[in-house]
Amino acid sequence: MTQTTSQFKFTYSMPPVGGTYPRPPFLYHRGEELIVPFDTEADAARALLPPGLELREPARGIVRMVRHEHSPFGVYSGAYLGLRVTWQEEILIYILMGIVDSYVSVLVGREVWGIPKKLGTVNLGWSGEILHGYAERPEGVRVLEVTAQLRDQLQTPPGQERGPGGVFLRNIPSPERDGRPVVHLIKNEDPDSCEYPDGPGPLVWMANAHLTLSGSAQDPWDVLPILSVRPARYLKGGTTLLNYGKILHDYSNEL
Amino acid sequence: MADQGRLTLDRLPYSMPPTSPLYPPPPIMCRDVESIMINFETDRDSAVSLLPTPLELADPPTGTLGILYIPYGAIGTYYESLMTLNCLWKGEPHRYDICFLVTNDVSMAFGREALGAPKKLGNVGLQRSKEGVYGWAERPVGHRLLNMGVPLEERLPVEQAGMLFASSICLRIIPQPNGAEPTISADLIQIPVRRQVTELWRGSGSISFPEQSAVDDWSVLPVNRITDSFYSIGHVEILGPRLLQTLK
Repeated sequence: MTQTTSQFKFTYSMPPVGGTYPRPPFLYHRGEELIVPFDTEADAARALLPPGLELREPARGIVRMVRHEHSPFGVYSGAYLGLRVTWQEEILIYILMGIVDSYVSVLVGREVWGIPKKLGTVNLGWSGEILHGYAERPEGVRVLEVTAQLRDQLQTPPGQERGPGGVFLRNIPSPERDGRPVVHLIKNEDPDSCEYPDGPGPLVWMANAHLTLSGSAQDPWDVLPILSVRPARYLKGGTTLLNYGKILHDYSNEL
Repeated sequence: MADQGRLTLDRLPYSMPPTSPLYPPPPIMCRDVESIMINFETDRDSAVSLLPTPLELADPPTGTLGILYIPYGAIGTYYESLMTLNCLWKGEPHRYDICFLVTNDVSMAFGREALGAPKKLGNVGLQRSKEGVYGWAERPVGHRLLNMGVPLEERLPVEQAGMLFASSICLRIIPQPNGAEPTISADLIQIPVRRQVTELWRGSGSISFPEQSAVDDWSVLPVNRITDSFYSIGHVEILGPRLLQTLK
């Protein structure tokens, strides 16, 4: 038997030799993005929020679809379902679920910030004058579908194109049978600093949108009923910089 | 106007997202698992450089390459390729899991988050043919990293299956979300597995690494000499993991 001499160097992510992703920050070049707010039921919304997050009324859900033209994780698309909340009076979007078509994006999102991503099929593209987006998991089982038509181009102040930043409930299971998981409430960068200041900002339009959310037992995207769809926002181009998150609250000792 | 959330922590599921957890807690049962496993001798220096302290290298340095097909179970249907290194923890033999490719996100996230098994998504296959059973691993699709084959030459009593598997140890690395030091937490985790083998064969296995990759080095452990090769069918149950040590 031979005792090893440690030649081992830790990476930021698994596997220890040649980690799957590097440390933040990550620079994203946006292809297109569609943000569709909708009014929803306050009771259904409250049932989904962890302690400390408060529902911002009127209750409003947010669907965000984005196609990244370039990123450290390649070209990929994502769809997210969120809910407008407040944390100590700061307005944020609590992300309930997400589907992306890049597995590295699944890993980095879940492991670093707790963005609850799963792997699936996401498409955002044009059919004539209609912007058509959908998300499926597994392929063929559609949980989200949106159509939109652009209306007016906006002159948005730089840095305010996207709206509130995201907040996530990160839950890393304990390696022990009865051990406590590590549970953190984490927010990403302030959105005002998210748009990369050195690059050209995105073009922004208002849009009329029609939104359908469906559900399966594994992916209940209909968990927030759609009462009425609000005017949507479409962004094209621009860059965003995603940095480390900020831990708002550590629930680990409260379990 | 604001109103407090009602998702109490006692209702928090084992994995994210809380509304629809990606994977359930162990034990995870996988039925009718088909696999080929090839054991080989490798280079001491290459092996040592992959092994975290305080694990010790087994002597002689040996590893295993394998490809599995999991037709159904609690984390879905998927294929998996694996590379492990035989090691010792406090004098007891284990296998240290170096890398995996799998074909579904549930297995990938469960492996990484709950066990520390360093899984990535890839294109993996296992097929029966007239020459035996062969498998492959690609990442990305079409970029062939590994070919393996085991001809079915000798049927063995299933009681001999114990020699196939030592209990596995993973190094789970979880990044700190805020960049604070230390920027990761690193835990050595033991993964007890219960196996029931229903079919066991031995053959003269072969391994090749057709293409290299900057990000997925499946030839990082040189195959100096193949010592044994098996094909098996059976049930695998992944039991609750156990924290061995938090590394500083």
